[in-house]
Amino acid sequence: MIFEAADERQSEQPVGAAVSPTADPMPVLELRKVSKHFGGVAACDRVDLQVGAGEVVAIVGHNGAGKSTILRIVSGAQPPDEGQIFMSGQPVRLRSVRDARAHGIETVPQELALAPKLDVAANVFLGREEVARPRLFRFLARRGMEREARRLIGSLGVQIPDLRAKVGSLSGGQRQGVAIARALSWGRTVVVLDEPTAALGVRETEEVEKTVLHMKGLGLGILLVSHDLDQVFRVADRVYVLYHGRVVGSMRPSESTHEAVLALITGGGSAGASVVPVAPAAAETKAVAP
Amino acid sequence: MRASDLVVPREAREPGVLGRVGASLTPRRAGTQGAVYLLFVLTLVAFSIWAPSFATTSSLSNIARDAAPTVVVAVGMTFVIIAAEIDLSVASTISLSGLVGAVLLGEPGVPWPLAVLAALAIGAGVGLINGLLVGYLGVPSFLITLGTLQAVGAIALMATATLSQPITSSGFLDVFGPGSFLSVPLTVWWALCVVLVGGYVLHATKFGRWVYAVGDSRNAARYAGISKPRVLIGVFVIAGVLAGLTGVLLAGRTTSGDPTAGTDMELTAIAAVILGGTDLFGGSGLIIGTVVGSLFLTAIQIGLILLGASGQLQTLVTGVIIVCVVTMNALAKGTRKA
Ligand SMILES: Nc1ncnc2c1ncn2[C@@H]1O[C@H](COP(=O)(O)OP(=O)(O)OP(=O)(O)O)[C@@H](O)[C@H]1O
Ligand SMILES: [Mg+2]
Repeated sequence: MIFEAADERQSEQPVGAAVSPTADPMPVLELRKVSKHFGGVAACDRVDLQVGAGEVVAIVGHNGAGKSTILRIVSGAQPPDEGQIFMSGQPVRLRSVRDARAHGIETVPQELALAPKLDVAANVFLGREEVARPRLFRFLARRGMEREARRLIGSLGVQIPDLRAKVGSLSGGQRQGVAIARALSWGRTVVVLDEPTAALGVRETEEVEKTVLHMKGLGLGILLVSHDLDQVFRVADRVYVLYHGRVVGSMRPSESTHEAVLALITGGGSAGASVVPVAPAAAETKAVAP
Repeated sequence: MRASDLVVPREAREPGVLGRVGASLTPRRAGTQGAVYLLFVLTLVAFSIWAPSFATTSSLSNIARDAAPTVVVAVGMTFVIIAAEIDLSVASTISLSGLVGAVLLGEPGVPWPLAVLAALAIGAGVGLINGLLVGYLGVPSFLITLGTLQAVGAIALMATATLSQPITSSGFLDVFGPGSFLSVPLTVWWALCVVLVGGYVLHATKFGRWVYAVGDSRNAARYAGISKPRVLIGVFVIAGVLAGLTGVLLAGRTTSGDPTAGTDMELTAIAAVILGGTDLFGGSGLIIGTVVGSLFLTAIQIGLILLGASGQLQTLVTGVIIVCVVTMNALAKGTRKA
C-alpha cells in the first residue's frame, strides 16, 4: 500500500546487520540485551531493539508479554536491571522520566499518567508550564497555554468542548487525546505510545495514526504498543513480537502477514515461523501523507 | 483464549468508566463546599441573634485578630495537604520558634530582626527535615511529623523549664506587637500578607501547579518530569516557615514566648484547611477557602464565649462541626464509587 515504494528500497539493505551501532542509518534508539526482572519473573529478557529516525516500530505480544515493561524502560520510568541503551550511537542512562525527557523521549504510558483534578491545559503543559510576560513575577501564562492546548487537541480531531474541565471528568477517549497531544507536542527524538488508541473511536484513531505518521515524517522515532494488528500493519515499518519477555521475531509488515505475526504472538516461534531479524528502516524523512 | 487476550487489552477499558464517574463528581463537590459556606453564614446569623454583642465591630475585629495566627499556619498546611501530605509538627514549631525569638529578643547584642529571622529559620529547619524524610525516603508524613511534633515540643519545654519568656523589645513590638496599624491589628496585616503571597505562589506559579500535580497523581507528576522530593521539601519548608512566623506573631501578641504557645494548633490548622474545601486526599483546594475555614472556626469560638459556653463545650462544638463536614465530604466521595 502506501509504504511500498519505501519498503522496496529498505528491503535491499543487508538483513541481520541490525545490532551494529555503526549501521547506516544510526538508530535513534537502541536497546542491547536489556533485561528486567520482577522477583523470579523476567518481564523482559535480553531484549535487542532498534528504532530508526523516521521509523514507526511496533511491539506486539500477549498480555503480560513485557511490552509495557520495555516502554517503561525507554521512558525512564523503570530503569532496567541489565543491558545498555544507546541514542544515536551514544550510550545513555535513563534513570528517570526526567532523564528520558532530557533526551527528547516523550511517553504516553498505558495508564496515561494524567492528573485527574487538573484541567486539560494544565495536563498538556504539566512540568513545562509557560510563564507570562513580564517574566519578573513568573505568573503562569494560563491563556497562552490554554490556546495552545486547544490547537493541539483540535489537530488530533478529539472533541473536548471545555478545556477548563478537569481531566478526571473526561471520557476515556478524550483523556487519551490529552495524553497523546502532550507527548506529540513535546517529543523531540522518540515518542513512546502504549496502546494509544485503545479507548478511541474510529475517527479519532485515524487522526492519531495520521499524527503518528506526521511525526515519523518529521524524523522522530515512534515506538508503539498495540493490540490492534490492523493498526500495526497500517502504520508500522517494523514489528517486534514479544513472547514471555523475549523477542521471538521481528519483521516488516509489508513482507509479512497477519497470520505469521499471530502465530508468533500465540506460539512464541515454536509454531515454526521463521525468525529473521530485520534492520531498522532507512531514515525516511519524506513526509508520508496518509 | 489467546485471541481474546488480543482484543481486550488488560487496562484499556478502565478509563471510560473512571471518566464517566469523574464527571458526576465535580458539581457534587462544589455542592458540599457550598453547604459548608451556608453553614458558616447560618452560624453567624444564629450567633447574632442569640448573642447580640456578636455582631458588633469590636467582636468582628476580635474574630479577625484571633483568626490571624490560625490563617498563617493554615496557609502553610494548605500547601502540604494539597500535596497529599500532612504536617503535625507545626504546633511544636510554633512554640519553639516563638520561644527562641523571645529569648533572643532579650539578649542585648541581638538586633530584633535577627531574632525574627532565627525564629523563621527554626521553622525552615524543621520543615527541611520533614521534607527530606518524606520526599526522598517516602516515609509517611503522618508518622514523620508526629515524631518531629514530639521531639521539637520536648526541645521547647527543655529550653526554658516550662517558663515563659517576656518580650520588651520596642522595635519588635512596633511590628509584631498587640497594637494596630490603620486601626487594623498588626497580626491581621501579617496574615493578609501571607494570604496574598501564599495565594500567588500556590495559584499563579509553576511551583504551585506542581504542588497540585504531586498531590493529585504521583504518577502523572513523575511522567511530567516533576521532582516529587523537591516539591515536598518545598511544601514542608513553607509550612515550617509559616509555623515559625505564627510563633513570632503569637509571641508578639502576648508579648512573651511560651513553650506551649502552639499546642493543638496543628489540629486547628488542619480543620481550617478541610473546612475551607481543600481535599484531604490532595490535588485540590484554595487559599481563600482556608481563610474562610479559619474565620469559621474562630467565629464559633468567639460566639460560644459570648454565649458563656465553657472551654470544653467550645471544643465539643468545634469537633462536631469538623466531623459533620468531613463526613459530608466522604459521602460525596462515596457516591463516586457507586
Ligand atoms: N511492577 C511490577 N511488579 C511485579 N511484576 C510486574 C510489574 N510490572 C510488570 N510485572 C510483570 O511483568 C510482566 C510483563 O508485564 P507488562 O506490563 O510489561 O506486560 P504487557 O505486555 O504490557 O501486557 P498488557 O498487554 O496486558 O499490557 C507481567 O507478568 C507482569 O505481571
Ligand atoms: Mg501493557
